Amino acid sequence: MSTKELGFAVSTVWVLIAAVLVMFMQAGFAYLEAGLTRMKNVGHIAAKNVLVLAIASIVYYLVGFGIAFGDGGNGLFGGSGFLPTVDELLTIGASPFSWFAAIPAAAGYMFEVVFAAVSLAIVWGAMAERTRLWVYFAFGAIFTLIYSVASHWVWSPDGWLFSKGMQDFAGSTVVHYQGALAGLAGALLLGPRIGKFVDGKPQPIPGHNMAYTTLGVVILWFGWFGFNPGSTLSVDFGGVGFFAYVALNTNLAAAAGVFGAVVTSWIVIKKPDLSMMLNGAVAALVAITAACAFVAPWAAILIGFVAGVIVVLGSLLVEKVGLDDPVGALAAHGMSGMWGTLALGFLTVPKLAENLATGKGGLFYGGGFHQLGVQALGLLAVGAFTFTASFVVLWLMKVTVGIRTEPEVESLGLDVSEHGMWGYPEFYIPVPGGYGSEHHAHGVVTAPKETVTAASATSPAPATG
Amino acid sequence: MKVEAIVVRDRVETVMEAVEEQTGHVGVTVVEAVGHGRERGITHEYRGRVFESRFLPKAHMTFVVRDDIAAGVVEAIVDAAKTGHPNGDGICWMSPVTNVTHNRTGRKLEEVEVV
Repeated sequence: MSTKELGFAVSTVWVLIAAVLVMFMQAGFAYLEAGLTRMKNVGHIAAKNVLVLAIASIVYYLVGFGIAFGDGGNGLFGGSGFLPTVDELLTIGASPFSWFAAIPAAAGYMFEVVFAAVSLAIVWGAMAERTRLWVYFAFGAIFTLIYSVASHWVWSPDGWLFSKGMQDFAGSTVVHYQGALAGLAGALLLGPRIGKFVDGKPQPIPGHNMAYTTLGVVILWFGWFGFNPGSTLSVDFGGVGFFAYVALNTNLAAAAGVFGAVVTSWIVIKKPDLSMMLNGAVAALVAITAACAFVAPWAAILIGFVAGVIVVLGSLLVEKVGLDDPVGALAAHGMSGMWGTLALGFLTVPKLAENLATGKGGLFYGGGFHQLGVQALGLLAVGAFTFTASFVVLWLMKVTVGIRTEPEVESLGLDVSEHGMWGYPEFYIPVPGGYGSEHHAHGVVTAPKETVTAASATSPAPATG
Repeated sequence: MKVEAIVVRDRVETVMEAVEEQTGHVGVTVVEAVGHGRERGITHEYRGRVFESRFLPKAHMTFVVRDDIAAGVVEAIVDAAKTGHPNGDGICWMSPVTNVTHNRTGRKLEEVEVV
């Protein structure tokens, strides 16, 4: 291998590791969402998380990757690389995926497809516990396409927002804000879960397992070390080993987000609520996603802390306006995504922007209002497109087939009504040999009745333990 | 009088509300119970294979009420617990109880109700 090839090899190793870390975030989302919802829906939530990863993987291979990164398109869509062939996937820095200059297009696909799946996972959080299963199939495929278009705008060198110098390093806007916009469309069209609002007043519907939620968030935090640092797409984008700096900013922001949320929840709801603390970490990670490569460490802390504040106030605001968002995705991904994207207009370090050849320095560094304007334009454009497209598609699905489960189905739980089984069967039905049918001998081991009579004639009594 | 009912778990709140609304009685004990009636349980599927549960999940509700409203309580329960589902909606009955005393005050139920 030449030195140049060795560089490609090392970059490919890094990007593929990062892709696998991001793929594991699906486990994080599954646990986060399962923990924050009720037992009777846990199997359904686990099932749909796996399902949408599968859908995104196939659709993104067929058309999404080409729309997002294919060469020869215009500012709005990619123009080639649909259903990519073996040769096309093996090339490095050549048509149709010349954007991936240091890794084979296959590694590019692996890294980008898991991002599409993350965006999709965010959508469902706001629609949980009341959406029919087929919606996940149909809208999952369509949203993958919507996502691909907007990601082309911001991330492809042909994209119109890219050429304006919009800074969104790993997708505060592209992945998180977009996912939340579709989730908002879904939450508006679905309406709240039964019992969420009584006489217009929001009621708590506690999640069933806060340890699951914690595990989910920690997995997300872990996966984010692939999400942000991996978005260098090479080991020397922005400088050799620059991705480690990105990881550092990511971690600082998440830590600050925990504090921001704890402090805010202590003041506003008088208790350091665990779910708010966890959402604070997620919100901070979302906010730093755009900024991780462009800001100084102190700014990462600031961005994270403010995101933690935003998520607490935002979750309460979402309830106040009558929206039901079971996992808090609208605040954690939508509002924090906007904050992270806008923060760059103030906090981008000119030198880092120059190193990455993306946009200009922020207002606080004497860069003027230019970058802030670009960031706001990006949010506005992506917001208008993704929300409108998602709303129209979901609305059409609503008026033709229906997207919400019947009230009986919702009250029964989606586990048994949609899948014919439960996530925790023994809580709901007596299962052969299951919970409640054990003999309670307090540690004394006794053989089943029949065997005792048969065996007692020939062997000594069973041992006690 | 003690009024007891076996009802589907989904209807526990409906029954409580109906009793309070129609008779004014407040206070209930609810125990999660399993059992079966003449339908002898239910069959379930897991991965396409059928297994039987002899027992269905139900709730056992106990109301200790003044004698003169007991019949009304039964009526309210029966009406509120009815779903019409073939798995059965349980049963309701009453039986006499004596010497009902409040633990906190040591007073008899009758005295409390009169005051």
